[in-house]
Amino acid sequence: MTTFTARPPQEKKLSLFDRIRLQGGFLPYALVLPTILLILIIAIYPMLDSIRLSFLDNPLLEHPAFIWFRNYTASLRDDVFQQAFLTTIIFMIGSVTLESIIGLGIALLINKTFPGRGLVRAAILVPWAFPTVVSAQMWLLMYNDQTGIMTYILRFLHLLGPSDSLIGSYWGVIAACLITDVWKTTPFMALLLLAGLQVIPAELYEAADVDGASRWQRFWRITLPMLKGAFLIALLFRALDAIRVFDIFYVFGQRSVPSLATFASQKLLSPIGSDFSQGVAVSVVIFLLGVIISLIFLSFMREGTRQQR
Amino acid sequence: MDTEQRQFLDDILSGMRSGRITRRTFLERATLLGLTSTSALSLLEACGGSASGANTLVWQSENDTSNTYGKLTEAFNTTVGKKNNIAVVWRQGPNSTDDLLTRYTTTLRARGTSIDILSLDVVYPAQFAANAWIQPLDKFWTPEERKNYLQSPLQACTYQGKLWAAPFRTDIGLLYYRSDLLSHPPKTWEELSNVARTLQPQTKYGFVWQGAQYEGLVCNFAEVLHSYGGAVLDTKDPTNIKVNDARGRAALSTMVNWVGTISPDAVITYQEQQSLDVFKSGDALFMRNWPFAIAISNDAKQSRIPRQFEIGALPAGDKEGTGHSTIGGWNLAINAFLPEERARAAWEFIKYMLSPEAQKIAALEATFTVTLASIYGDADVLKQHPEFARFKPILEQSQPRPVSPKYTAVSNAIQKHIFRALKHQVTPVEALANLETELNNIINPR
Amino acid sequence: MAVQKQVLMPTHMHVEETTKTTKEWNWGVFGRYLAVILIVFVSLAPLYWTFMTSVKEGLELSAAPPTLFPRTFSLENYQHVLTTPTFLLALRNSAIVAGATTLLSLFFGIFCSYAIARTNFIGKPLVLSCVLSVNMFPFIAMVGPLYILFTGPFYVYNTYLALIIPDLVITLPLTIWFLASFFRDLPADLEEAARTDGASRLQALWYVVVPLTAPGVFAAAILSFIAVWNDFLFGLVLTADEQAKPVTVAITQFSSEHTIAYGELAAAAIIVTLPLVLLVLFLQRRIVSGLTAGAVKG
Repeated sequence: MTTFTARPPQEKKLSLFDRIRLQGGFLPYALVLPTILLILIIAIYPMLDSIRLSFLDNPLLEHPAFIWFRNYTASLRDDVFQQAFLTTIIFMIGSVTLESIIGLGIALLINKTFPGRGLVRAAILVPWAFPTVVSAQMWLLMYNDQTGIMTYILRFLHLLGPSDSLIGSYWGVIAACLITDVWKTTPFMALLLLAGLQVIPAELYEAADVDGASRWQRFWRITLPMLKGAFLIALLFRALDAIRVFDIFYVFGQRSVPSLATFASQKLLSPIGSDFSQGVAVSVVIFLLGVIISLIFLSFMREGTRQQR
Repeated sequence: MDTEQRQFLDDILSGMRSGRITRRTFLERATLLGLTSTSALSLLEACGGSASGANTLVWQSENDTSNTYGKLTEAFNTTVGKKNNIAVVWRQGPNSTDDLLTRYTTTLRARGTSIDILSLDVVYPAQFAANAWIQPLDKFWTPEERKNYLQSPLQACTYQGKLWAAPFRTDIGLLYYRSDLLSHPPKTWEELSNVARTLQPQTKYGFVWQGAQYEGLVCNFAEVLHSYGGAVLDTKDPTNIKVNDARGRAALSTMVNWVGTISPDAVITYQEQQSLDVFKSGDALFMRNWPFAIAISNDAKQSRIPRQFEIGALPAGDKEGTGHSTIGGWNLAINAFLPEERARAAWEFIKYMLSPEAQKIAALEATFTVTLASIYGDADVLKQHPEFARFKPILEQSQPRPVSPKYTAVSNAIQKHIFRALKHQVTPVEALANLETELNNIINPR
Repeated sequence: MAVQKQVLMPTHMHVEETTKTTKEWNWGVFGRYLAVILIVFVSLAPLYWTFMTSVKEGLELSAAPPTLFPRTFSLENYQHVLTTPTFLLALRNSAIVAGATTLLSLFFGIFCSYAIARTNFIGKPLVLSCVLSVNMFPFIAMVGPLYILFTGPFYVYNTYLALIIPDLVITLPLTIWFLASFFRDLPADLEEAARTDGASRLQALWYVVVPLTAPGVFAAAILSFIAVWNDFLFGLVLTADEQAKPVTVAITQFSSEHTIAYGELAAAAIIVTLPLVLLVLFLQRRIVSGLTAGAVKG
């Protein structure tokens, strides 16, 4: 990238067209257009419409009234919403942490050749490929207080009472959701991180070997920094998925331990109009939470690229 | 024209005839097919509007794994339907009522007409009526004709003096008890408690029911509450909240005392399947469940106690009272956004489903507890399902859950507070006081 | 990281060879094998449990305590599932929708990622935020407007398109962000070399960049396919019958209002999962090795 050492004497104001041409022409727009168009129509429009709906009292009426933030304040005052919010944050932190550590471990492990490596890669894909609707029910069966294998394991470890079930208590439900989610989603992280590991050039490691670096140094100085881009993106997407967690809380927590998304959907599928607009408001809260998380992650990513220069 | 094009043409023709696509859409698609615009126009004219041509209606039902609904639809199409030029398409429903409700609310909020006849859970008619999503059936079905049908489901479908859905089949809460250990069912809850405590060592648990925080909990609570003579809302004045009185407190205390004593701690995670699993493994003395559990518990391939149990009415609060089962069940309603013609055609189908022939088939083949009262005395039905004889007196004493245009919110509030009491997080007194406050906010908002 | 700039091109994908001293060999490899066995066990144990649930007969299914090795064996659940016509049709629907969506997602996604990674056009941050924002919104709030759209102006209700379009939108964000980071980390020298040889930008993209980032492309493809395969909500609301209903919705119909058909659910899960995993296993070897072989040539 060339840098001008001195400003040209006449600063001609560049038109938009010139600026576009300088930065790659219209090709980028052509490449990006189909995607953006699709996203605008299918996702952005409903999102904006939802924000509008959240300001109404009852969208089913002919002329609904604008009550602005009343839906939001009503939700914030609702103790079930508060619990759902807390539950979701706890779940997100727990699942993201566990999945990234274990996922990274798995990726590092299977990045080396060893006999049976292909089979291991296929095996770890199983939890992720397992249809969500069924895996939730199968795990529910495993947590069943009478016939569930997990219940027996936990009773054996004296972690559970004789006629109790893991999903009978608040923290039990969170634990159950974390166990099932870690089982299901760690392959997602592992796969992304593995791909990231595989494009690290071997020359870097060879150069480090020549310099006499230890394994820990190789990991810390080469692997992690090179992996940073893929890792942060995987983390970001995982975190955004975690705040929208629905299936496992729907099956394990039901109404008693809701996540933000199950709480929202409960209101959203209610025929009562005012409940519906409250549900939309909660969806917007999830969205805002996502925005905050994204901003945090993006600042980490920008830091990374700044360091690279 | 090859078969695919023929199929496409058929589709758009039927779509247009049934009113599902507009004339404009029909023309667009017909020209897409390769017809010139003039030939498409003349085709349009030939088919006409809604005056002539077969009416194809869509019936969205709840989940039916026995395919009896398919058979009934078929029977209608070949008899009454053929005569009146009506064809009904049956859509199998998802097994979760929440998923079905998602489908309904999405469609009806958009004023969609992709569903003509809806099967509504017994707690929906008042709410759907309040939103003007379904149309009243009084002009089709006179009160005289209704006399032959069970009154409790009809009561549940009535809102503001009008009937909004036709009860097709109902469901009642029953007390299942081990007849090899007991000779007769208990008459009061206290008796049940005592018997359970005594005999519990022979099974594993005394009484299993549905205590999870979901709609089923409202059924269980309503049954105990009604058996003490209490009620959630005053039936004559639904804005009057009556749950927080002495009877309510007695009922809730009874339930709370079961958890951890005659019922396992995990009973607060049980829905119908889990409680049935315990009972049919022989691990419970009593169970509260719907009639579907009878066949399963008698099936030697699935149950350890075939023929070793009986069903009876639910106990009462005290010696003078009677037990009151909560009714479940499904009712047929007509989409409010249909034009007059289609609504009339839809009623033809509903009328068929209410007829003695259809009700008998449903009772015989699917063991549905139908709503036509005479079925419970029918010889053929009783031969195949002798337990139907027991149902009649129970049905007569059954009561619906509170009927309210805001039932979803009411139910959520009941679930939340009763569940907290069951988990011993609050006392029954506190729980009912909180429930009353919340119900007040819902039903009588400031 | 100055080291990165000096590297002209990776000569081969980084896969470590296990050449260590004998002492390290014992501990390192032993520990590694132990970890691998543990991982495989944890991944597959629920699958084994599901398989067992699908072949146990009714009574044993509700045995307390549960049996680890089935004493009864019956294939009637599989029989029931496979002879249900709606299930097989739904399986076909899911396969078609997932396949089509994955291909389209890769197609649009690769173009979009390339533009984002290699150029600095005006409005790029806006595009990136738009794409990312899709993942911040709970889908349940999107189905209402989608239903209205697909039964109104753009009538594709109950067709494959009704599923492909929203599924595209849910797979694109990860594909784009992920591939953009891969493309960005790839040194530009190779493309420049190709372009000076006369290739257009797009040709450089498809013949140079994509093969070099093959692991990333493949990962994005698998994840997209499985995400679409697992979708339930859009299938529930935007389809009506076997014409377009996906297998996730069809599976729920074995249960009824009050009962959960554990045996059939388990059988259906096995039928749905195993071929998927085998397919991925097969494709993995073919595609990744094929693409990386192309890249090795100087």
